[in-house]
Amino acid sequence: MSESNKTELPNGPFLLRSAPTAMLRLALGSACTIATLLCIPDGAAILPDTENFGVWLVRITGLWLSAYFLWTLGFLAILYLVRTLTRGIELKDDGFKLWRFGRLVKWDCVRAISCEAQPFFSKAFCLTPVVHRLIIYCAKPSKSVGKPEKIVPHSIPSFQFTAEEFQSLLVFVSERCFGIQPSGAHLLLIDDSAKGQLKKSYEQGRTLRVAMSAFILISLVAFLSRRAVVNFNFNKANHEYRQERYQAALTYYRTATTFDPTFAPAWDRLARTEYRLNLVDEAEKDWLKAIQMKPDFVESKIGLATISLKKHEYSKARQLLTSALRLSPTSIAAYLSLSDLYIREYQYTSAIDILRQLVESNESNGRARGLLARAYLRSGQIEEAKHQLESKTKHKPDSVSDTAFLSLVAAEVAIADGHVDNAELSLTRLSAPFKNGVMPDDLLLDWIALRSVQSDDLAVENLVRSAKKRGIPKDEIEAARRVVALRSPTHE
Amino acid sequence: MSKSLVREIGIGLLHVAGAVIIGASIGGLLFSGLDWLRTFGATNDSPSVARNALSSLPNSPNPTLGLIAAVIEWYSSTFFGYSRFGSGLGILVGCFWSMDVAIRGRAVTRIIVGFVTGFAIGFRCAIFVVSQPHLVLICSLLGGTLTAFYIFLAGRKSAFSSLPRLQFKHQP
Repeated sequence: MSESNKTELPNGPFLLRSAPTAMLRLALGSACTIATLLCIPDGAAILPDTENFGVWLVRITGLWLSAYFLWTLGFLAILYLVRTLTRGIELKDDGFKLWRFGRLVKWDCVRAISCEAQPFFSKAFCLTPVVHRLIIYCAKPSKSVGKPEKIVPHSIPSFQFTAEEFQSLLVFVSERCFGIQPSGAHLLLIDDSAKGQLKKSYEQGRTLRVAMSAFILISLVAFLSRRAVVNFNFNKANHEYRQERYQAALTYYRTATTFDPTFAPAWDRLARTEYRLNLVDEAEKDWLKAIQMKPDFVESKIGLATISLKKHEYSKARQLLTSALRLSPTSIAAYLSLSDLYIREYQYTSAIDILRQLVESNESNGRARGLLARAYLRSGQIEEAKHQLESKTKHKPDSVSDTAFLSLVAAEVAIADGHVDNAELSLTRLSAPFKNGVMPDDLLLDWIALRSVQSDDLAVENLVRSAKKRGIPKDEIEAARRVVALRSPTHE
Repeated sequence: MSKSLVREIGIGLLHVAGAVIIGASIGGLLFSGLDWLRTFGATNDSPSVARNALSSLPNSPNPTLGLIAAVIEWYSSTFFGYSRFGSGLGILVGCFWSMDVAIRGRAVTRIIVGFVTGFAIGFRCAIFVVSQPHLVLICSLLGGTLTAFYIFLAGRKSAFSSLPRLQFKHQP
């Protein structure tokens, strides 16, 4: 302890606010440690999707940098918010307040001051100069008579201030309470009358600190383990999904969402997998969960719109697609769904306008080409439709499902063109996978059209009944029955 | 309104515009670079996008709402994927920096610049949750009003002075 050397203190009141430079130093310093800790589970989680060490290194660097920037910005924002709300330490003539709404602690209640270095904390968060913690022990009168006063510690860490500001605070408090000008940051000033109570308070504080450290450590381990499990399952599921092993992917995605119910991409992928497995209701629920977790999740909105189209809820689909396109005006999937909606709502010109641009930008987009052929066909331009389908042989479609869709549209064109045998052959081939299941609505409508052309009234009646049971709108069924309406005016 | 006040407001608004544009550009570029690193060598699962928006959505007959819708569409087509998130962060950082500069100005400057800054913050936060122009407009106006109010109050002269520099006792 320094010897007494009282100087004249300046008149207050003073306000000591957290320094922006100190907050930035803390955010940057802690970001290094936090980003490294967060990357430990990620390092293991990206293994299922990584070919060699070089790729792993690049990806882990990307993950580390992302975590570094996000933590720095996020933590800095929190520090600024806390600074705004708490305002700072108020030093008045009669006492001090640790924050805006805090209780005024009278100077004559101060029983001790201690200031000690925190080398472990400083090293862990890469902070220079070494962080100090100033603790002001204040007396709080006991409520019951005869009992000794209670000593309450008030902690002020130096990392919120510049070195000069913290030094000024330390000197001010020491001089104000004990009339002593300290000679360094290591300090212990005690009022002899409160020694016993101070010892008790210090020990209580130490126990609390140990308990708090243990709690943080356990929480950290639990958090990192959970992240490792979630990310590993998510990456493994993505791998399975790409191999079209949907059942396995489903299990991994479910594990990922069970461990982290706030992980929106996992909900989205889970719904996508369920949709592929024809679990439409489950897919709808999970896409809704993805949007709950991330309200601007465009892919989930498109997924829900696809289900709405399937359920013939066109106004809902339009709302979802409008929202998706506003958030992602270049999304090809959204444009495909929108043009499908236009076709279903007989707005063929709008559909053709979009689909032509899609086909021009990517000629192997089978879905766009098929939809364009369908739009031409339904608007009576059968030759244009045929032209689009002929182009498919020149440009190989992107995927198997695109090829199946093109065959379906080709069958529709064949029906309208009077090539009933070709159409029957195509439709039989396309219906084969659904022998024991439920065939898609499009296929069912095409069967109605074909049987109508063949004047097989009994078959038409059965198919129409089945279509009505599914909730396909009456006008769509009627349009399929009056297949002659599909023919172009020249054919007529 | 004095000439110096107009100049102060103009500089404040330029600060906001510059900070938002620079913040969005840097944030967008930075996070699209980070996305490239994070997904390096992995199969590209990201949804395919067209080079340009193919057709604009049916617009609102109200010119203000139409303008808001056009801005949302322009922003969304300029920044997509991870860069959308990065640009959002950049905008918020830029806005907070502008607020920090504006807080030292006069009351009128603080209110005007605070409103514009809050409008930008409200707009970016709103398009994270909604995409309907009228809701985005409401959130932006709310953000603008609250921020203007906050900056107006926060910039008032404080009853406190800052703690003077005090030194440890010199030891020979």
